[in-house]
Amino acid sequence: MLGKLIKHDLSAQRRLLIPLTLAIIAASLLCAGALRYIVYVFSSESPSDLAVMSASSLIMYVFLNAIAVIAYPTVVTILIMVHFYRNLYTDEGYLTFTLPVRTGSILLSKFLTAVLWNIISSAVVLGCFSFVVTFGTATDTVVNTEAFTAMSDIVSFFGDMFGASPILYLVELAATSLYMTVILFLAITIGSIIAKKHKVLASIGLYYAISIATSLVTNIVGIFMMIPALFGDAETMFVSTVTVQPLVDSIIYIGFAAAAYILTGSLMKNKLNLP
Amino acid sequence: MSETILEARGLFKSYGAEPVIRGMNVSLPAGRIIGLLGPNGSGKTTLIKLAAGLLTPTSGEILVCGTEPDEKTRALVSYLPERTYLSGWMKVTDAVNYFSDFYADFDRERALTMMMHLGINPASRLRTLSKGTKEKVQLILVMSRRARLYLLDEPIGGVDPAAREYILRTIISNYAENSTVLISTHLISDIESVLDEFLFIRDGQIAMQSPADEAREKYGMSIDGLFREVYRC
Amino acid sequence: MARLKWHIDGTSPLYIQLADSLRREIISGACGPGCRIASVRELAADAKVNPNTMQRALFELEREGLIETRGTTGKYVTEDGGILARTRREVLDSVADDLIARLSSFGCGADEISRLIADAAARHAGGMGNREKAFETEKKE
Repeated sequence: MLGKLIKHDLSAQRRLLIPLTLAIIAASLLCAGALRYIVYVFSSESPSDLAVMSASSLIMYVFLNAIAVIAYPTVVTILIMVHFYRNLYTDEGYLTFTLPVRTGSILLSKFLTAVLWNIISSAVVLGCFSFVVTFGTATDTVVNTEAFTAMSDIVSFFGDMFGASPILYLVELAATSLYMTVILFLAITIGSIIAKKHKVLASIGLYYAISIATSLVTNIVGIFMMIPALFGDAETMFVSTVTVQPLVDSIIYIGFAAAAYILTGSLMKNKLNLP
Repeated sequence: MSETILEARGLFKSYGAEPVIRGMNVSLPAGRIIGLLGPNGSGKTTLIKLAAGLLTPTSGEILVCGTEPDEKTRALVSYLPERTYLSGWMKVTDAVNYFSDFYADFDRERALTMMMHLGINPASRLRTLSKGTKEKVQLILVMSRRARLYLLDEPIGGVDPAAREYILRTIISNYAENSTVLISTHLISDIESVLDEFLFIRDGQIAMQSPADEAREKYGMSIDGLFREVYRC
Repeated sequence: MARLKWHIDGTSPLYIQLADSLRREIISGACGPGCRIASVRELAADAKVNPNTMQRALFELEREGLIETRGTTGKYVTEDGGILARTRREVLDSVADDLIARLSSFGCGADEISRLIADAAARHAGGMGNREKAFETEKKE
């Protein structure tokens, strides 16, 4: 049954998400081309006036594309959450919650599909960014491998300096993303239960409330963890901040996420009250 | 051979401080078409939602085929709410596939045949259909399941007379000995000829439960007439 | 079998009204002697009533002998002249009772009623003749 839930969630979500993703990829491909042209024009000896003009206007496009790519993951999250809300807490909920499946499976399907789209959108952002940078800044070669090596160098530089693998930051990123997904689920669920009108506003408010609460906890824990480091020198403090902190934060985020997940499931099962 | 399909024992349901179902006791056997009759706000929809598993009782019990509502009873119950619960972007065939996927007792052929009878184009998107047509689609999907308990909440409310006839004929022809149809409505005269039994619900309790012909004999009037007497303002 | 006419209004038990309607349809020839009755489901759908209720009505008619079940092939109207004649008499008596009751409610006495009926019969003379011929056999008891 879980498989069927996932299948139907995906088919509902992909209607908007796939065109959006393809659009971002297409726009980024164009952006890479535009960037390359700009670089070509401004690095040539005596470019024509026409070339300069067209290159200048393309800069605007590159800029807009960058904004679009940055906004894209947020749009993906919004669309995922809109589907979550619609499918569960509007009239569609009458169908969803009378299916012969456990409510736990319904929640799990929403969670897994959300995580999947988060991974896809992250990969797309990374891919587009890398492609634009490497293809767009290349002059003689097809792809500017130098840019690529430059990027990896920057990453490993941080790694070597502080003895912290960039993996830790990826872990924290993943934990944060998971955390955000589940907290949004919880906020939307509570919002739809307690608010008669303005459920969306209530949900947004709850989301920020929970986020602030979590930040409070991470900051307090962070301060406590710094205390032993205070007895060392500045360097060890900085190092511990960079290495241990992400790990501790990740654990806190995952802890909150797990609690939120369980609470959401319980509310869905026992406190459901469709209009 | 009369199994109890739906039973309520000391059932209470309150929304916050507002009690809607107050200590209801009722028992519905299999093989009947039963009318749940009462004015708006008397608790009809709440009772149906409790049976469908969309609400949990504040206290007391509600049992479907002997068990409290869970994912297993949901497989036995076919519920038609008063609202459109299908996604607008779906095509009619998508909705048929959806039901087919999740409900083992769904009779796909029957559904498609009924759609054809009513001239519904399977390729049309639900949001392009009129309200009446959407309601017919939902009714067809619900009645194409071979369920033990059908819960129909105001199935003929906003529908034209021809469709009303079709709906009643579908309910009659769907009759099976081991299943029960519970129809909640306030349009009693349209539906009373179809009922085996009826329940009058008032103030969150069952005020009367009787076979239809017995009541007609006893009170010398139609169920509609009896309703007007009992609920006279 | 032609479409049957059902007279039900819910003010008295439906199964009784359904049985009455069926008797009338049988006597009027819509479903005459030896005619095969449709299934309970089909009849119920046609009359837009609950199959259980229709079943009860058919049971009444079977009890009277007006309908009989022949093996697995279904239910048929009896060909027994005696039963048919008796039923016809009952139906016509019932129609007559209704008519008399209605006329009486206008204050008509027995003489006036007889006169009214004779005059009405004369007015409809042409149409009535055909029906009379059809039931000539039944009249010979």
